[in-house]
Parts: sequence; C-alpha cells; structure tokens
Amino acid sequence: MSRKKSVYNGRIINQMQIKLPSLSVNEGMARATVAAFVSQLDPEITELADIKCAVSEAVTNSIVHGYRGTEGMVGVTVKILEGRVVKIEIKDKGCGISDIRQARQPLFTTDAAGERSGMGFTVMESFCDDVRVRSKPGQGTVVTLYKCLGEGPSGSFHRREKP
Amino acid sequence: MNKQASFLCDAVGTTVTVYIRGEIDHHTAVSIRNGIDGVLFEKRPEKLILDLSGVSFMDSSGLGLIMGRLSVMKSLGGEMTLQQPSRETRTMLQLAGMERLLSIVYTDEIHEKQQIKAKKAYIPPKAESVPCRQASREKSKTGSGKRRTGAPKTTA
Ligand SMILES: Nc1ncnc2c1ncn2[C@@H]1O[C@H](COP(=O)(O)OP(=O)(O)OP(=O)(O)O)[C@@H](O)[C@H]1O
Ligand SMILES: [Mg+2]
Repeated sequence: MSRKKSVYNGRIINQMQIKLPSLSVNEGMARATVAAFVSQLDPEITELADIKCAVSEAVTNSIVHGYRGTEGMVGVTVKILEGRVVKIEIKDKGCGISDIRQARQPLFTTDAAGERSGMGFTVMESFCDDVRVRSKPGQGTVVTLYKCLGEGPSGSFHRREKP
Repeated sequence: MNKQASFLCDAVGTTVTVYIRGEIDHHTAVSIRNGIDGVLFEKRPEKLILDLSGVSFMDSSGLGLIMGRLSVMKSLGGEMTLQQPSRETRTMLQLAGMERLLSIVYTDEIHEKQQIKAKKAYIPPKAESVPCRQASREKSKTGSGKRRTGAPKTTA
C-alpha cells in the first residue's frame, strides 16, 4: 500500500488545475474532472472510485466548513508524478482548522446539526496512501492527497492472469 | 457531470421502500433527505427500507443521510434496513461500521441482478405508490427540466 515517502517528490509528468466557486453543485464537477484527468494513467476502477471519493470529501469540507456562510474559491490541483503517483491538492481560503489532530479523528464533526458523520478525513485516509493537512485559523486549509496507482494496464493484465 | 440523484418511494402497508439512484453527495443529499422525510412524516411507517442498488457514488454525506433517516425512524418508533448496497457504496458502509447500527441485506450477484431487473420492470409505480418528486434540486423550476432524470426512468 504505502511506498517510501520519496515517491511523493517525483518528477511531475502532467498537471491540471481548476478553480471553482464554493457552490455545492461543484462537488460533483470537481471529482468528475479529477477522475477524467487521472484516467490517462488507466487506473483500476476501484482506484478511480477511491480518488473520486477522497476528492469529494475534501472539496465538500472546503464548501461546508471552510466557507461556511460565506463564498470563496476552491482550488484543485492534480499532479501526476513519476511512478504512477497522483498528488491532489484541495485548497480554500476559508475559516481554517484550529486543531487538525482533533479534526482528523473519526466521527469528529463541528456540524452535528447538519447531519454530518464526521467521517470525511477517515474516508480520505483510508482511500489514499497519504493525507496531509495544512491549515491556519482565519487563513484557510490545504489538503494534499497522495494515491499510488498499481502497475497499470500491462501490470494489471499480468495480475489478472494469476489465479 | 454531477449526475444527479433521484429516488422512488413505494409504500405498501406499514413499510416504505425508497430506491435511490445516482450519486449521493452533500449537494444531492439535501433534497433526497427532504423528500424521504416528507414521506416518512406523512405515512409514519413501521419500517423503512433504503435500497442502494442504484447508487453509483456515495461519500460520507451518504452516511449522514442514512444515520439521519435512522434517527427519524427511531423517533417514529419504527425500524430501518438497507437493501442491496451497490459495489460503490459497500466500502463506505463497511468503513463506517454501518452493519452495527442497522441490518443490511446483501444478496449474491445473480440474485442482485434479478432484483434490479425486477425493480426496473416494476417501475412506473403502481397506484398505491407514492411518486416522489425528483430529488435533484430544490428549485425545480429553474433549469432542472432538461437535466431531469425523473423517477420513473431507469438508470443504465
Ligand atoms: N476545509 C476546512 N475548513 C475548515 N474546517 C474544516 C475543513 N475541513 C474539515 N474541517 C473541520 O474538520 C472537521 C472534520 O471533518 P470531516 O470531513 O472528517 O467530518 P465532517 O465534514 O464534519 O463530516 P462528514 O465529512 O462525515 O460529512 C469538520 O467538522 C470541520 O470542523
Ligand atoms: Mg467532511
């Protein structure tokens, strides 16, 4: 599952950037766009599903928590790094997180009234190989997701051949 | 892009079955929630069955939606079951340990396909069914017409 941290600093092969206003309708737009871009690596269906879900969590957090009651832009940067590593950065200039460790705890939410499960960060962590959070109260939040894809078309072909 | 969600409610006796289709995220969950709760408070059923076989995407907002309906059913003195969660929803349900909160009816592959077929054949709804309004937008008048994936239609 997890590779050496050095793979996260590999050469950038391709990259994409989108900026969307913090409208909930853009949650689907963001994950679909990221999935379309990552598709060039011919990922497994489950890998793509994991990425879509993790992106959806981070973008939703920026819209729901970061820009709660206000409006702003959510930035999504996708980088394809050497060795089939996908690095995705989700950035907002919203309210920020005062206690990141606490925020990442399963079931922790500051919005229980909004029917939130507090599982967003847990989902990102279990669907990605690494999740990094940088945040400052009053300044915003950057969530970086790393997903290391399997061997790809030829590799997966060989894997499928095995019983 | 944002494949919108729709749902169909079917009330038989004291049981309400809700078939959700499409993608459940924070955006679509709002109208699905309002629609389901409208039916629950009107019918006050003893049992709610949430069928997830047609859900093509679900994030943690779906967990909130499920847990929220569970507490509504508890407040009505009823129970709730999840039925045939699609592959896309299973990981999420397992991650949240949802099987500890309510019963989940998993069926085997062939059975599942048959059920989906049967369900498709069964739509459009019968007379006693409650045709729910399309769940994609709150402001149904503005522009939802062309994107309408209306409840009676089947998903691919
Ligand atoms: N971008 C952000 N800006 C400000 N606060 C955030 C941001 N992302 C997360 N948080 C804080 O971290 C908490 C935990 O986030 P997490 O996604 O795990 O759960 P949630 O969003 O509350 O619920 P769920 O994701 O299950 O709907 C949030 O309740 C919020 O207080
Ligand atoms: Mg969240």
